[in-house]
Amino acid sequence: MDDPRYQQERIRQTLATDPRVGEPELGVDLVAGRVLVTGSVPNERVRAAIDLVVAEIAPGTAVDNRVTVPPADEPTGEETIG
Amino acid sequence: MIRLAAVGDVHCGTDMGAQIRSQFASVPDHADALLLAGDLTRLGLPEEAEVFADALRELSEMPVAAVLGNHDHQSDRQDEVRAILEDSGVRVLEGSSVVWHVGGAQVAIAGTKGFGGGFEGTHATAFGEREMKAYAEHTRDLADRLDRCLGEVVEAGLTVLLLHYAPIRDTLAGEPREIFPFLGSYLFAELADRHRVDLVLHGHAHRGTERGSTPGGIPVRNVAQAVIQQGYAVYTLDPAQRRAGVRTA
Ligand SMILES: [Fe+2]
Ligand SMILES: [Fe+2]
Repeated sequence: MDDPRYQQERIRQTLATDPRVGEPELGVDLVAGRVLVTGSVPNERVRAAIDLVVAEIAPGTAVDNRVTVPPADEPTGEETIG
Repeated sequence: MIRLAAVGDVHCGTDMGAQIRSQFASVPDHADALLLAGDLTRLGLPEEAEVFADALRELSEMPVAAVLGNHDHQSDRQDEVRAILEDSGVRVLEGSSVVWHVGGAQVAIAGTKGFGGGFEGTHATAFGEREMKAYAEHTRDLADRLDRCLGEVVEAGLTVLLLHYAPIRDTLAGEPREIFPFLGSYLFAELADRHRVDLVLHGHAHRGTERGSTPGGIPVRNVAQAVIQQGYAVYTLDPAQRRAGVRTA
């Protein structure tokens, strides 16, 4: 079996290029035998696709998907520049 | 006073029309113009750009400018993406600028996608393999074009520089240091300082930090949506405080 560090990077590379996710900015770490994914994606559908893609390339590996969808709320303040 | 709304890295997918429409619906209540700091689309597909442009159509009275990001280049159809946005009234900047009269004053927005290379002391050099030269030269070419563009607009009033890639390290705080050379280039900070622009906006570094400044003291703001944690940020600028005016006084 591959060293888990190679598997970790292979997952990261696939999350970047698989069009269901397409996010090269995600963090992928192996923590206690689980794949911990962090960062942000634009919506819940992309967030859910992370689990699908990891399940395809690393079958049977538990995924800890801590990826968030950033809030898009109306701003509560403004900053004066200068 | 000029009020500018700004956000980057919206990463619009084809299923996100309603989400984008609601994100930007309140912009006219808060700002005179909207600036988009790249990565407007998820995969750089024309159909994503159509959804995004359509969602912005309700802002038809509002000046909107954008730069493209690396995501908008992902499908190698960036020219189509740009044309769709331009057709809907978004000014897409690449080594170019637009001048608006808003909020009772004049503001020039100069923009480029920018690119990587890194920062002063460790920037990539155009040496060795063709691929390495191409990498360093792409950044240099974009900077040279922007330099000429800023030379023409800087006396027009307030000037805002709009980028996708970061111009300084400060606003990358939170990103792994190993990837800094892929996140930005100091060449754009050097231009901001040389031309005394009033504000620099960028995106791309989702895990970065909102506030920083160039070595010359010009405010830099990372407006990636994941950084500002809201639909858009609002920056107010006072035309009486402009930097170019200070320099030429
Ligand atoms: Fe992005
Ligand atoms: Fe980006």
